[in-house]
Amino acid sequence: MAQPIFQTLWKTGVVFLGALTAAAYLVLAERKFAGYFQERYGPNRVGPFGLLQPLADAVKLLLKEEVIFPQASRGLYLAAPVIIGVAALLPLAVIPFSEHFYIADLPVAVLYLLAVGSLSTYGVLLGGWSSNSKYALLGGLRSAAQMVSYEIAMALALVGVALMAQSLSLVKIVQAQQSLWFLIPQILGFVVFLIAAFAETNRLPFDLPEAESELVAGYHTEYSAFKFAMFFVGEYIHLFIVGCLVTVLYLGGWYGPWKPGPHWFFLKTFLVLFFMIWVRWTYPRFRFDQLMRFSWKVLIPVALLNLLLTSLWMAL
Amino acid sequence: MSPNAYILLGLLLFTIGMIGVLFRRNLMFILMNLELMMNAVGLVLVGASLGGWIEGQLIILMILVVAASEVAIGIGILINVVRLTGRPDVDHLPKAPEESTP
Amino acid sequence: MTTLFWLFGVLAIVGALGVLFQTHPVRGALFLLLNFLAIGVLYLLARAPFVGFVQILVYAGAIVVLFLVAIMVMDLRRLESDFDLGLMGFLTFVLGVAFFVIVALVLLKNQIPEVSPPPTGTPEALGEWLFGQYLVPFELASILLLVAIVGAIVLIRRRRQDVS
Repeated sequence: MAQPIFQTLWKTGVVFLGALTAAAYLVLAERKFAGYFQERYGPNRVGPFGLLQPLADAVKLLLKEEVIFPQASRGLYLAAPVIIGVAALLPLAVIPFSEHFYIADLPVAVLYLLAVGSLSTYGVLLGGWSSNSKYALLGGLRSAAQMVSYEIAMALALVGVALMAQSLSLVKIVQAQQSLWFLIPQILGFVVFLIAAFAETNRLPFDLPEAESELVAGYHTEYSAFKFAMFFVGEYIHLFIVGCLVTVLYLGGWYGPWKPGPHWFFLKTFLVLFFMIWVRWTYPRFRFDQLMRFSWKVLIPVALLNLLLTSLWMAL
Repeated sequence: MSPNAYILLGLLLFTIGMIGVLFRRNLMFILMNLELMMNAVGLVLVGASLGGWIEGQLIILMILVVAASEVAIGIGILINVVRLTGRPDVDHLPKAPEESTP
Repeated sequence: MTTLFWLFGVLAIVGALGVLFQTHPVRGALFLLLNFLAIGVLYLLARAPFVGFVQILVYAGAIVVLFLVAIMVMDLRRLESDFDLGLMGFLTFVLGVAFFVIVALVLLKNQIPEVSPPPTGTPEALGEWLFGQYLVPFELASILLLVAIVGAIVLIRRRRQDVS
């Protein structure tokens, strides 16, 4: 907590740029892996192995025509992508990348994550509403319902972790996992958290808000060029953060078999992200009523059971 | 900041919310102004906790529960009003069906 | 600290005035959101981190979303006569201002001294109160939530003959 202000500033800069780069290369990784899963090469034209593809994508998106529809509600239409981008970046402030490298160690970091995570709903909802288009509105409403329902399951899973670590601070949570990762005692909570994370990042099998075969492109149907890029980058930063969070909460953060350090953190994060990409290109999509029923009738009861068992374990 | 600044700010917001509840006709906005009033009370309580009464922060959690319940019920009523009259106007609330005179 | 208090205090007041005078439901809900977020930050400034983040989580994350979804699903528009511009509306303002002035005068007469250092509302401290002396109100709150869930479902449910 008590670190000088310039130290906070340079850490913020490093984390910010790092997250943007990670998001850009996550897009490339997703396209490459998707290619391999489907027995093709994926992007390999720009640079060696297509490594410069993110740069080309960015240039393409920036040079496209900015379209603002006359029927759109202008102020909110422009604000929605900004809300998505900012809300996606905010959780980075509390993620501990190694024992000493974090921007802030909040004593209530878990609550902070949930509070900030709930703000991205507004970007989706307002983007869908202000476009004044039926596909966008339907996508936005579906998305809001989905994010709010799955947030409950996610929060309940997090309570289990907080109980085990006896703290809400992410640094303390990682330190509590020095001998045993929470993956093992919290296996139910881990599964619930991971499933809820798929839903929160709007990825298959829960990508109902987008559902390109029924809703064109969901809440960002009417967005183009840089505004679309904000949605897109926000989504991938969100994905990166979910990978970091699974690592911090369940996989022991910076601890590993040998010398602890940030390399373990990034290795685990990469494996989690690979798993999420793998699932995306393997499973079909849920129907909307199945999605809501799954959250309320399966995920939340399981999370409550996990909470009950954890409390019993901690009380004994 | 001194507790008094928080309590005065809470009072001001409470007054704005109270005027809103009485001044508006749209049921949706009346619900929103009720939420404003509840939040304003929270500020007063946090002022009290700065004055040493830390239980004030607990009462805020209770207010949160009450506010959430109130919104759920309030929006349920609003949806029924809109279904019956077509608009959320408190001056044109649906009348109870008249008793049939034999 | 004082500068931040005034900044977010003014934002909270702007949000409240927006809710009071805005006639467009979606924009009104967003002013409400501004007010909630500003109050959440004010809680943080007053050494109430737990309550501050719960405020943002519940109000901004759930309640305003509920308002917005209700507005969008029902397609609520502006009401042509939203303000009560008659005598009653005028009296509302007079009474409101009078209420504010009277209570403010009483408060300024009886100022509460700040204890130093002020207590911090950490999760541990609040938890001990909540599961100790305040256990009964806590349990009552959970029953209230259950009643609200059941009540909301009963209110929204369409009766069978309405559906056809």
